Amino acid sequence: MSTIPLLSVRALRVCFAADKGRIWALRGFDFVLDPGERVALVGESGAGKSTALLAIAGLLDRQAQVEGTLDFPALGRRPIPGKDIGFVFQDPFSSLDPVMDVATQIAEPIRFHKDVSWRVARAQAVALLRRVGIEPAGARARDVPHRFSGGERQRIAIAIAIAAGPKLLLADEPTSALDTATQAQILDLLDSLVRERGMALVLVTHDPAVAARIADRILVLYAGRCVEAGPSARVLGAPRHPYTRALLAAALSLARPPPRPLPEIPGTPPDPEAALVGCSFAPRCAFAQPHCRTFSPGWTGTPRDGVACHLFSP
Amino acid sequence: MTLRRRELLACSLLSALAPAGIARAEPPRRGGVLVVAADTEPRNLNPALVASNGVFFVASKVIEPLAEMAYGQGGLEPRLALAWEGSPDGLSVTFRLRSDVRFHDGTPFSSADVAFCALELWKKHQNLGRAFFKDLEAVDTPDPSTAILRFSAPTPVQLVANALPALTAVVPRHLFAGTDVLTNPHNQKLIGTGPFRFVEHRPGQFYRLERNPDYWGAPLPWLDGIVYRVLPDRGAIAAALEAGEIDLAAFSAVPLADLKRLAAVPGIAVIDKGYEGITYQLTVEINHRRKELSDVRVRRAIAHAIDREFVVRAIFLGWAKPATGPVPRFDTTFFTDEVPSYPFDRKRAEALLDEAGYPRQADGVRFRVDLLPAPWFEQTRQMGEYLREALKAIGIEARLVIKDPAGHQKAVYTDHAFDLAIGSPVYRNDPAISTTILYESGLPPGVPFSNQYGYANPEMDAVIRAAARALDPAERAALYRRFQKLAMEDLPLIPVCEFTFLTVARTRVRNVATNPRWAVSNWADCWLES
Amino acid sequence: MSPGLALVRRRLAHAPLVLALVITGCFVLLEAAPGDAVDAYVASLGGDAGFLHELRARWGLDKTPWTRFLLYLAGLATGDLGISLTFNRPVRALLLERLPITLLLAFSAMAVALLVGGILGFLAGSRPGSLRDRLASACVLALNATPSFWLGIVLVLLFAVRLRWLPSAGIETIGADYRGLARLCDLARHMVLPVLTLGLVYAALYARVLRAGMVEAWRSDFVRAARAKGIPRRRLLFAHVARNALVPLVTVVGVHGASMVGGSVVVESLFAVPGLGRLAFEAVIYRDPALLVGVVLVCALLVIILNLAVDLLYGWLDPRIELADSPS
Ligand SMILES: Nc1ncnc2c1ncn2[C@@H]1O[C@H](COP(=O)(O)OP(=O)(O)O)[C@@H](O)[C@H]1O
Ligand SMILES: [Mg+2]
Repeated sequence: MSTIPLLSVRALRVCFAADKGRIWALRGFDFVLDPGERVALVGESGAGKSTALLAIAGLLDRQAQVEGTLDFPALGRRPIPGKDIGFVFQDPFSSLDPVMDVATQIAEPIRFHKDVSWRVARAQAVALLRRVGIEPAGARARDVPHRFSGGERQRIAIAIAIAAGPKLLLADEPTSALDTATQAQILDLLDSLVRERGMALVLVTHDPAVAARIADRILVLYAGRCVEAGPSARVLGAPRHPYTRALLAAALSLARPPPRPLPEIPGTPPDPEAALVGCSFAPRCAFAQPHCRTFSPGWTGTPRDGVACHLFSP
Repeated sequence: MTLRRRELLACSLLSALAPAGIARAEPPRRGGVLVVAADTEPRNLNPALVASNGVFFVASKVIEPLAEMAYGQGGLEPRLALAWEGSPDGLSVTFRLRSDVRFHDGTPFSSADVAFCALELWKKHQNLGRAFFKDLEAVDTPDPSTAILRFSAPTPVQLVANALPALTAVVPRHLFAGTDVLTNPHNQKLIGTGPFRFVEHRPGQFYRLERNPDYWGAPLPWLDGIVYRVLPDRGAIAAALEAGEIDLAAFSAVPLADLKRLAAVPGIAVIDKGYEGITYQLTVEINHRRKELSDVRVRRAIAHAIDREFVVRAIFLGWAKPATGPVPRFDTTFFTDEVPSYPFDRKRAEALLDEAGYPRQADGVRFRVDLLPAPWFEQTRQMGEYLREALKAIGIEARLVIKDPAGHQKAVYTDHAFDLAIGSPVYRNDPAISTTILYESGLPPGVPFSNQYGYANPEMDAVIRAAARALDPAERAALYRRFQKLAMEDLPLIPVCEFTFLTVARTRVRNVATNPRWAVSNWADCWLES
Repeated sequence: MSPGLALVRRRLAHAPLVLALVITGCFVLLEAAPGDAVDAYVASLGGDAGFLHELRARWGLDKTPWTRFLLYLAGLATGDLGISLTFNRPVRALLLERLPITLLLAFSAMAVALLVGGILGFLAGSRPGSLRDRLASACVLALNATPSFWLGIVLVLLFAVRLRWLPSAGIETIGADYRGLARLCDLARHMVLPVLTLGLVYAALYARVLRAGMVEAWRSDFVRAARAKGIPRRRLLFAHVARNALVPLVTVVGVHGASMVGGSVVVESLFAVPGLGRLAFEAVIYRDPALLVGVVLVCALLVIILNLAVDLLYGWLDPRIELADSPS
C-alpha cells in the first residue's frame, strides 16, 4: 500500500470490571483504516462494535482497561476528539443536551477547536444547520432539541460531529432509532457529507444493505474479534466465515416481508465474562470441527481482506 | 450539684440578712443602662388596668402603686402613699399621699388621680381589682394629699394594705378621664410617677425606659435607663447572658437545666430571692364532680402517693420547698404548719383507696382519670408526668391530656372537663386576694384560677367569709389558720410544693432582690458597677 | 401573548380561590380549637366572671362564629384586615411591620442556602466518587442531620458567646440609633446567625439535589456526546452537567422556598427576629383569627408569587417544559 493509513488498531483488548471478574468487550481487535475510506462494522449486539468506536475516539470510561495499540499514522499525533474525530451516537433523543439551543451545541466544537469567537462559531453553526437540511436554519438555530423530530436531531448530531472538520467520522448505528424513511435520508446525508469533505467513515450497523450502500469495506465483529473483513461486494457476495453467512441470511430474511418467522442465528454469543478457548463461534457453528474448539483460528488473507476461520486456514 | 445548691443558699442567706447594697459598703454609682430579658409583650401595659407580672415587669418602673412590699417588720414600704389608716368600723381607709410628686408629663400627682384610678380603673376594669374593690363606694379627696376610700361593707385595713403593691398603680387622671380607658393610647405609652420614663416599644424587639430626672425619690434612680429585650426563646436568653448582651433575666427565664452551667460562668450569679411576695404553689386540682374524687379518702390517698421531696429534687432541681398548705411559709402573718399532713406512704394510700371502696380490679386498676397538666410552666407539665406514675403505683390509671393555654383554661375553668389537673396558683401577700377563691363555693363557671372544682363546704365558706370581714388583724390571722387547717383536712386541692422564681444576673448589677416583689418593683435603687 | 404571561394570568385567576380557601381554613381551625382569645388572655392574668364577659363583648366574641366570619369578610371586602386581639393593633400594620424582616430573612437564607448548597453540591457533583466528593458529601450529611434549633444554638455559642463576633439575637443594636450605611451594617451583623441557621439547613438539601442531578448528568448520553466534541472540561462541567442539574434544584427550591418565606418559628424565636412565623404561632396560641388569617394570607400570596417565579424560571431553565401546558 502506498498510502499511510489514517488509523491502525492492533490487538486491542478492552475489558470492564464487573462484580465478579471482568467483562470482555474486545478480545484482540485488529483494524486498519485509510484516509477517506468508508468502513462498516457489522455484528450482533454485544459484539463490541460500540466499544471499538469509543476506544478509537478515546471516549471509553475511565474504568475501562485497554490493551493493544491505537495509532493514527496519517495524523502523526494523538487525535483530539471533536477536532480530529467526529462521533455520531445512536440515539438522537438522548445525545443532545436538552436545555441548550442547537446552534450553540454545534458551535461548541468550532469555538474550541478552530479558535474563533462565539459569534463566528455560531454563524458557522447556522450554515451547518442549513447544510444538514434544517430549514429555516436561522430561525430554528435558537430552538432546543425537543423542538426537532428524531431525524432532524440526528442531522443536528451529524452537524455537531463534522463541525470542527474532522478527518474521521465515527457513527454508531446512527439510524437504528429512526423510522425507515428517515433512515434513508440520514444515510444519504452521511454519504454526501463524507464524500464532500473527504472524511474517513466508520459506520456501525446491523443492516448489510446499509453497509453495502455506504461502505467500501465491511468488518464483521464477533465476541470482541474481527472474524472477517473485505471489500463490501466481496463480503456480501461471497461471505466466507460461517458467522458472516448466518448474519447475512438473518438480515436478508429480515428484508423480506412478514409473516415469515425470523430465522435467527441459532445459539447465543459467548459469555463476555468467560475466557475463550478455540474459535469463539464454534459452539454455534454448523461446520465446527473438534480442533475449532481448542485452537483459535488465525487470520487468513491480507489485513484488508481476509477471514479468521479454520475452514480457510491453509 | 448539692454542694453548689448549698453554697447558693448560703449566699442568698447572707444577702437576706444584709441587703446587697450595704453588705458591700460601696456607694452606689450613677449611670449605665440595664439590659434585661423580656419574654412577653402584653397587649395592655397599664398596671392600673391589668394586674399581672408580665405587665408589672416593665410597667412597675414607670407607674407606681401606693405602696410596695418590703422585707422585715410591717412588710410594706411607702410609695405614692406615705401612710394609711383604717377606721374602726372598717368602712374607710385614709391615705396620706406624697405631695411632691409629678407625673412624667409634668402634671402634679394628687388625690384626684387616686380617686379616679380607684373608681374608674381598679374597680371597674382591673382583672383583680374588680372583685377586690367591689365594696368600694367612693373616694373622698378633702385635699390633694389625702384620699379616703369608702367601703359599703367592713373591709379589713390589713387586707387593703396587703393589696396595695399589686392592685393600686396610679396613672394620671387627666389622660384617662372622659376617654374609653381600655383603648386609651397611654395603655401603651405609659405615663406615671416612677423612677423611669417610658421611651419606646419596638414590637418584637424591645422596650426602652430612661431615667426620670425629676423623680420624687431623688437622687434615685441610679440607672440611666432600662432596656427590655424581647427574647422569646429561653435558650437564647441564657446565651445572651453568657455573651454579655443582657445583664439580667428574671422570672426563671433561664431554664433550670442551664442554671448549673451559667452559675459557673464568672460574673454571673443565680439569685433565688426577691419573689417571695409572688409565691406559686404547685397544686393538684381535683374535680369533685367525679364520684371517686369527691371522697376525701381518695383525695388523701392521692396526697399520700406524692413524694414531695422527690418532686422538689427531680422537677425543681432543688429550687422549691414542699408545701404544707395553701399559704406559703414566707407569709409569717398567716402561715401555720399545724395542719394535717400527708407524708409519702403508698401503703397508706392503697389502704385508704380500699377503704373507700375502690379495690384493684383484675387488671390492677382501681379507676381511671384524665389528668390535665397546665401548660404554664415546664414544671407543671413535668408534674403531670410524675403524678401519672405516682398514681399508677397505687392503682389509679391517669391519662395525660396536654393542651395549650386557651384550651386548658377552657377545659378546666369553664367546661370542667377534667378529673385531675396540675395548676400553679399564686399567693399574693394575703389569702383573700387570690387564694381563698380556690376554696369558696358558688363561683360562676369560666373564672380562671378559682374554685371550678365543684367543691362546696359550708364550713369552709363560713370561715372565708368571716375572715374577709374580720377587722382585727389577730382575729383575721386566727381565721386564716383555721382556713389552712380545714383546707388540709378536707383536701379539696393538694398543694404539693411552693416555688418562687429565680433571677440570673451579672454580678455587676447591684441591689438585686431588695424586696419580696423585686422583679415587679420599681428598681429605683438598682445600680451597675462600672 | 407569551407563554409566560399566559401562565401569570392563569395563576392569578386561581389566586382568589386559593385565598378564599385559606381564609375559611384559618377560621375553621381556630373555631375548632378549644377556648377563645379571652381564655388565652386570662390564662396569664386571672379575673372575675364579669371581666371575662366584658372582654368577650368588647372583642366581639359574644357573637356566633358565623357572624364573626361574615363580619370579617365584610371588612376584608373594604380592604380592612381587622384588629389583632393579641396585639390590640390593626393586623395590616402588624403585617407591614413584620413583612420586610421576614422577606429579608427568607431571601437571605435562600441566597445562603443556594450559595453554600450550590458550592457543596457542585464540588461533590463535579467529580462523583472523588475525595472532594466524599468530603463535600460528608459535610452535607452532617448538616442534614443537624436540627436547625441545634445548629442555631451552636452558632450562637460559638460566634456570640465564645468569640463575641456577632450579636446573639435581635435585629439591631438597641439605642444605637444608627443611620444610613451604619444602620444597614448593624442589621447585617444581626442577620448573620439567623440567616446562616435557616440557610444552612436548606443548603444541605440543595447540595444533595444538585449533586444527584450532576451525577445523573454525568451518566447521561448527552454529556458523553459533549465529551466527544472535545470541549474543555470546565465548559462541559458548567454548560452541560451543572446546567442540567439546575432543573431539579429549582423544583426543590420552589417547594421549600415557600416554607422558608412562611417563616421559621424556631429560628425567629431563637434569634428574636420579629417575623411572620412567630406571629402566626402567636395567633394560634392566642386564638387570634384576624391575625392568623392575615399572616396566612400574606404567606399564601408570597407562595403564589414564588411558585410563579419558579415556574417562569423553570420554563427558562428547562425548555422541554411548555409553560402554557404546565399543570397549575
Ligand atoms: N461501560 C461498560 N461497562 C461494562 N460493560 C460494558 C460497558 N460497555 C460495554 N460493555 C460490555 O461490553 C460488551 C460489548 O458491548 P458493546 O461494545 O456495546 O457492543 P455492541 O455495540 O456491539 O452491541 C457487552 O457485553 C457489553 O455488555
Ligand atoms: Mg452498540
